[in-house]
Amino acid sequence: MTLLPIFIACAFTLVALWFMIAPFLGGSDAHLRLEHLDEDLHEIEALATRRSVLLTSLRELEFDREVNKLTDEDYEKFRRRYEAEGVRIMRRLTELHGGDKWQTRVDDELADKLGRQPVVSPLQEEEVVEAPVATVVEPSDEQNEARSCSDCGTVLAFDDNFCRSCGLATSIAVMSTPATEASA
Amino acid sequence: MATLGTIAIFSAMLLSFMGIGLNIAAGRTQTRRFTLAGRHAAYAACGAVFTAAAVLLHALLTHDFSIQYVQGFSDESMPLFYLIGAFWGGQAGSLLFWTTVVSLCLSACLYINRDRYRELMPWVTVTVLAVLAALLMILSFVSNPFEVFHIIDDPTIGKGLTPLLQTPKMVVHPPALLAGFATMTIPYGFAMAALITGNFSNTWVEAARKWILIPWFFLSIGNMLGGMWAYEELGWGGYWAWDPVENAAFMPWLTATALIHSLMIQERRGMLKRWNISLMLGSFLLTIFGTYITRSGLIESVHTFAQSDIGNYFLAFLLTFTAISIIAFAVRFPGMKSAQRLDSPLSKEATFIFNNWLFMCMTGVVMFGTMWPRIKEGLFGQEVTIGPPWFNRWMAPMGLLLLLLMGLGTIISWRRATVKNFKRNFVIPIAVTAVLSPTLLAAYWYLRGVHLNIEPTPNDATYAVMAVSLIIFVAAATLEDVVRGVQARMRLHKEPAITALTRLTMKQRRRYGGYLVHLGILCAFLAFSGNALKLEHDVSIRKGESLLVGDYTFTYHGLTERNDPEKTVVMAHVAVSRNGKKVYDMYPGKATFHATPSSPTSEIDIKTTVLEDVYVALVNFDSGGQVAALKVFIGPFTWWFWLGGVILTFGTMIAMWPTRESLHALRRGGVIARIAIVGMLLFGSSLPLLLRYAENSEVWGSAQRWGLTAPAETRVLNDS
Repeated sequence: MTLLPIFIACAFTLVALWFMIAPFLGGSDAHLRLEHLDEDLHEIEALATRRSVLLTSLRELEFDREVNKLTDEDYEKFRRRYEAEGVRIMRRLTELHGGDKWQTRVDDELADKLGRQPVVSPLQEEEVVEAPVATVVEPSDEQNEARSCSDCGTVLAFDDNFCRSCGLATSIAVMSTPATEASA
Repeated sequence: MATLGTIAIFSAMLLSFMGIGLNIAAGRTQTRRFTLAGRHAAYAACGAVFTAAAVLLHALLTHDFSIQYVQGFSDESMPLFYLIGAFWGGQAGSLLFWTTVVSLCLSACLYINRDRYRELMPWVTVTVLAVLAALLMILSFVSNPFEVFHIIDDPTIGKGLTPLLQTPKMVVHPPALLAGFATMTIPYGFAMAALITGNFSNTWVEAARKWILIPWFFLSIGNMLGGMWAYEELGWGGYWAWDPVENAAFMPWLTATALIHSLMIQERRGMLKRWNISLMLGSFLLTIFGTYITRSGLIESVHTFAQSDIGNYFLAFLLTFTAISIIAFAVRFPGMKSAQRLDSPLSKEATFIFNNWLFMCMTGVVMFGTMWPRIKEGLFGQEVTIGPPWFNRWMAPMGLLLLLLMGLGTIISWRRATVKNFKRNFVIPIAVTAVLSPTLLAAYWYLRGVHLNIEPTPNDATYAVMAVSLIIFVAAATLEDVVRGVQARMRLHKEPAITALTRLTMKQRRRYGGYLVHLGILCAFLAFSGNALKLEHDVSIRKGESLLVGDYTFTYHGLTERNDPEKTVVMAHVAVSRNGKKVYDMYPGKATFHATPSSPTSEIDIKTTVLEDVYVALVNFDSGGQVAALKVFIGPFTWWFWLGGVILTFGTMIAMWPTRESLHALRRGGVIARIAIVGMLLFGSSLPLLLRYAENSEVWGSAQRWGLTAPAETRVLNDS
């Protein structure tokens, strides 16, 4: 029984030795391709980690205000700073994912694939069902015009949660736009 | 097997150097090839260390006395618990244990952060591997635990463990401290990586904050267990003597505590960048310094069994890493300037800064008191002793200031405290203190203090009163903060109070875990204030005579001698009564192990209650048992020190409990890692209870439990 840990430790060492040498045995092209992929992946991980820390800090900030350890003025100041940094992180994450129109691109490719006719057996001809075609719902002009930031006036997309310019949350940003006031 | 162990140590050393080279290349080029190779070189080095550790453990458990270390620190009669303890019972084994823990932490750090801190990790690995290489060089060339006897000298029996170490607490105390020293290497690695890369954003702070609690926890446990051992085994009635070796382990605890608080400030406000880096470097260097002064013979201590001839090598280790750290710090100094400034001296940030200064002062006092006798002897040839009275004269007022800051820091505002904030947050704790403090002090004095005939000096009485008042203030401030938080959550989420408290604790583990730790410290301070009221009597007493201490009457009824193949135990029978009624019998003893007759051990008998400890030690006796010299202590509130330790452990576990995000980061192979992390945390939090179970069920090493050992020849020494 006492020999088992020795065997496990030796095996661990030998496997680690192999993996230490292995990177130098493969072709350099494969490593170069992985380098590029790694660059993006690592940046995404770092941004995601930083976003997680910001969320924790925001949570603590709200708590400190609730228990009167922070004045309202200081709370707003820190909150804006954290949210602005959060916006920058999410903007960068969006770029890494393929840009602002990534949703549209994915929807187009999906529609293209789903638009092909399915293979149907003779017995099932009557049961052929049209393959569903994904429809892309573009926001209407009215929707876009109705959503603009009350702080800086930047036009907001229909699915924006934060203003891309000043970082104000859209739940606050759209509260006082002319369109929403008119409809109310 | 010994050969395999030696090969493993040498291989680990070589792999460490290879890993350093590969990780330097990875750090400079940031290429995948070198990053992977460097990471796995570190894993391989760690694996070789694990192999060596497994070989030593195997040799101990199979009683392989051909290995000198096994023969010197174990024998065939030792139960499993003590055989494992023999691993770190001697110099070489304790060094191998330290190296193993560093390897374990490095492996865990590499695995957890395999996709994070890409810029920093190669340099973290370089730093930790450098520490590993230094330890392995000492193991390989100076203190090899696998040295064997020549065939003609091969002994068949072992010497066994030093009698003083034959208690469960002393099996846990050394590895706890060693783990504290070893785990300090990882946050040190992050600090050095920040210096090397010049990246002083909060990245290294985020990483270090997660790790710094681990060494702090182990140092807390280790120091506390050492105090318990001193209390139960050494017979002088106290748990902290400002012994140089105690101080050596206390100094990094002080700086690590300061660092935990100041890291919060950098994380929140971006301040104290230079301060935090220097504090982190200092905390690690103090662990090496502490080991050096303990093992070099530079200082005299009850820990003389830990001294060896490797002091000079540790001095070289210390000087090398100190030089590298100072140079790196000096080079990067201009770039570490914080953009943020302190807004007001009346703010949470200022309180934390004052708290840090206080911890540094305390560290300075302890360092001076520990080293000055040696420095003065070396420079001027004059011998001087600095004992507990000197330390207490300085540390007591600083401890009280620390309590005050603990309370202030809990409820004061960030950035700038206002009159409105003061009224809102301070009135209740001050009012509670003003009411409860005199009430509780008067209640204790008239209900118990008077009966004990306590007559503290004016100084001691003042400190005790101030300590109790500040304890109440801090407790009230903390409770107010908790209640406010629960009320806020109840308002926001419409939850009942218990649910709100539970969810608040789970969402803000660091904060509420920290509050529990503060509560543990308050309990310890209550014990310190009780120490000022301690009663002590050294007396020679004849059989049948009684001694009055406080309102306890101690009557000596003679001695009993028990002999067995390993030891002779002499136990005194002392009957204790209060107000004419018998309370209990006490049996303090002395044990002489036949293998080490020059090192008898004291077996103290202690009766513990919430209010006070009754402590009796048998100091000496005549051959007929007619006269015995006893040492009797009545120590108010001593029990609260141990309770404080348990609460502190529990609070640290809560603060360290991993969040959902960090567990999610272990998604690949995550199940085993999650089980390992949660298991370790549960083990850590239940350690006090496990220790208590081991003591109560293990017959080895206690005077009271020796009655269970059979066969034994018992002789009453002229008992009435």
